[in-house]
Amino acid sequence: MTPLSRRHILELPTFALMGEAPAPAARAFAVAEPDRWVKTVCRYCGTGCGVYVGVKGNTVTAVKGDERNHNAGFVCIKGAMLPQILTSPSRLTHPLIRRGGKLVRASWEEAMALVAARFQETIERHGPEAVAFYGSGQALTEETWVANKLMKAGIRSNNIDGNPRLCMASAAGGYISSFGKDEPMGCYEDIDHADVYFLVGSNAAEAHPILYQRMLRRKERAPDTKLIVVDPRRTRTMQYADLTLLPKPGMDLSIVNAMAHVIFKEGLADLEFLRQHVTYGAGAEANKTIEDYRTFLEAYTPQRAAADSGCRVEDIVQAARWFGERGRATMSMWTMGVNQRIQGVWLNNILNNLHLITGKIGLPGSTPFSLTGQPNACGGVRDGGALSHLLPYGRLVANEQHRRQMEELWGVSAGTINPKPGPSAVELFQAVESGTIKAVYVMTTNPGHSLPNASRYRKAMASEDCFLVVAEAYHPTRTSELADVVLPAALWVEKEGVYGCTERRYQLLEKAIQPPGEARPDFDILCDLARRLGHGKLIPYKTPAEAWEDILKASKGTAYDFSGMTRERLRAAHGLLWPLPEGNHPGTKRRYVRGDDPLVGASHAQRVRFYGRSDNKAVVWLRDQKPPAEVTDADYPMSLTTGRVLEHWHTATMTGSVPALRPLNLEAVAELHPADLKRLNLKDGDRIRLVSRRGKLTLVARETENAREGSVFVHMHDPERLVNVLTIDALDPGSKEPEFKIAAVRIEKE
Amino acid sequence: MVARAHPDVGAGDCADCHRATHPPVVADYESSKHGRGLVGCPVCHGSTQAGFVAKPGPERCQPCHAAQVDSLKTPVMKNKDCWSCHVPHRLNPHMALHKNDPNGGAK
Repeated sequence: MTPLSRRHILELPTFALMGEAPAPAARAFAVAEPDRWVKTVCRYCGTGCGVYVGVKGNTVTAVKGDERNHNAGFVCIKGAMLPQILTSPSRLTHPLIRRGGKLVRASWEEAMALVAARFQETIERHGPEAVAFYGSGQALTEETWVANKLMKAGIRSNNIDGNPRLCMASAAGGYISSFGKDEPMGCYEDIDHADVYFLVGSNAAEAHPILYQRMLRRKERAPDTKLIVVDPRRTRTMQYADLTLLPKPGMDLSIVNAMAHVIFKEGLADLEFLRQHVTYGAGAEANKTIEDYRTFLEAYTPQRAAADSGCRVEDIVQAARWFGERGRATMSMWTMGVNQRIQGVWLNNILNNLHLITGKIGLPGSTPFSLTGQPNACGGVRDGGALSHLLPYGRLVANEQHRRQMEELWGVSAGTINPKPGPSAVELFQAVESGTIKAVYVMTTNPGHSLPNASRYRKAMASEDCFLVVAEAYHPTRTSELADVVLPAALWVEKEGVYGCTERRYQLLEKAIQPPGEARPDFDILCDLARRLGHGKLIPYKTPAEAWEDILKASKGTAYDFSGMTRERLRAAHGLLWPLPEGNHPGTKRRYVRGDDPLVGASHAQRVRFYGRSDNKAVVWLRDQKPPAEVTDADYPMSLTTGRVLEHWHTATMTGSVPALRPLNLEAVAELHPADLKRLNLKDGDRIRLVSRRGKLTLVARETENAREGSVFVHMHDPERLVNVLTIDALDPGSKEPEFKIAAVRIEKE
Repeated sequence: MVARAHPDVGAGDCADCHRATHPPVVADYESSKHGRGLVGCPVCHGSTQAGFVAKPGPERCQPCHAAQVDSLKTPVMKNKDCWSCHVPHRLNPHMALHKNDPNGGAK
């Protein structure tokens, strides 16, 4: 931006720009002061921006960014309109029970008695594995803790999974296999130090605007900072990119492996770092050598990667040179374009590889950094171990020692926890379809909209053989419309609890107002349900703060140790990063790093210690490029990819209820390249039918140069036009995350 | 204030039409920090419907610029609002007031 002097500014025809008369010189200062400001965290994405809400009476009237939090006082378009999510006419204010095929108003007593009776009866007749809980990366940590404890230690069923399985499971799987433990080692502050940003499968400008703005501020201060963006379609994130690569959907593993190839060939690998800190593996075993890895990389020439991906050789080489240049800091960031793939874990592994082979890890500005989609996927579900194969804070269901630890912490007898992991999200709804699971409790999420191959699982949820309970702030949603009981849940600042965002930052959301009507916090509803199911002794909590005491104890001594993060400290702080093992510890910006991470040991001989694995080493994995689950063919010649837009979030239950956002961009359209439209004899605005092997969807065609030829993009937010009726429910074999990002479709004219 | 009904934007965004109807506004906005950071039109102007605000007041700036909005309460800012210094849509930081600040007073 060209700086202007004050004189210049004063000379500009300020109010003439809209062709209107100059404004009166004096305008009253119009901001109504709220009664009080309450510190909280944005309800939307995994960035976890600190905000204050202004409260007047029992109404949130304003929002402002927290200047002392990582977002430096900024909020994005969605965050600026947060107060409006609370007052939407679509808020549910009383329980509903299905009677004669219709959802009708009921009392809490009727609704809870019915839910408890049906769950109890199902458990008695069919065993604990006939009931399930499906949770959310938007629930508060204490809520998820109660659900997990009730299911695994009370009901004794591992049928508990959640929507982070659709979102972050591949990133978690990547971190665990590369470093032994889940969660990134870097932090947002690394954005301020990086010389190169390597973004793969991330449209951060729209999906993580505050982090993207932070990158642009860095680029402005240090103009030599490079932004490389790899994505199969041209996104708004590429607007300020120095290098863009648009690979064929699913063919980016070749590119990342070829970058490693170039890094070794051109002497950019840090061989000393590799010798000290890295071991090598293929399959599931870390039993390879650096020679094996280099031999493996021989096949991944830039020429081969260019042929696989449709990108240019020189762009792949340039990306590798910028990434690997010595003395410069490189930060990789990625999201759903990497995770929602059958090769999701593998692609995560090889992104981690790039940082390990260059030693660009654990240094300011150098880190492999997975961006999270939901505000508490990390803190509540991943860290809290509320997936079917996990136990809290890095423990595993299948590990006997871990089960014993949790049984002791939960105060139940040894052998209580079932040693067999339960089903993952999609498998859970497959078990509903097959009738194995007969009752499901869904909390703070919308699987009737967000599951892949949605028609299949919507049918299963709607079946009379499935008793579906949905605890939700809004109604109708594409899931609550299928429910047998809908419980009205308090939302965001109507309750208290902890969120943990992308960078291991935990923050307390304080209660600012009372929920509307009869809505109750999910924490209270779950504790009520536990008492009614006879587990009142196991779930004795009166407040989330009481549960937090138990949560701190469960983290103590683990690689997640945040036992010093008392409620008082969280209340006073503007976010705290773990590990934080003692009350006076400031928190850890960079994990595994000597002098920063208290779990490394101040006297450790090297600058990092990857203590997630017992050999203190990270693993470089040999991971081959494979085709997507569904390749295009003569019948389904186009590649469908899905994603997000700036103005909306996930299934739009919140953003779709905001008056200023609802009219904007909520309608899903089929974005197509002009060459494809021409070939199909179609034009912009035509109504078309997208057909996959799983379903059909009628949309308006939108011509855009941003589309990749041969691909069609549809956003996932529109509740009336569910793109997920087309997507495929093929799963990554490691993470069990579905391949939302790639499906084969054909286009028919309506 | 708009008297006539504005259609829903549907797919796309405000600039799709206003690039043609208000070219300087869209050009100024897109070259500004707001345009670059995708701080979209509704953040300041609200809905296309009843909630539309033609000339946003400081309460629209407050979510991201709370301290600056608070400064309007100081005596030196009497009878001023954000638009007394900042050009709408272009939103230049006022350098003269922040000579020593490399960011020109902008955050």
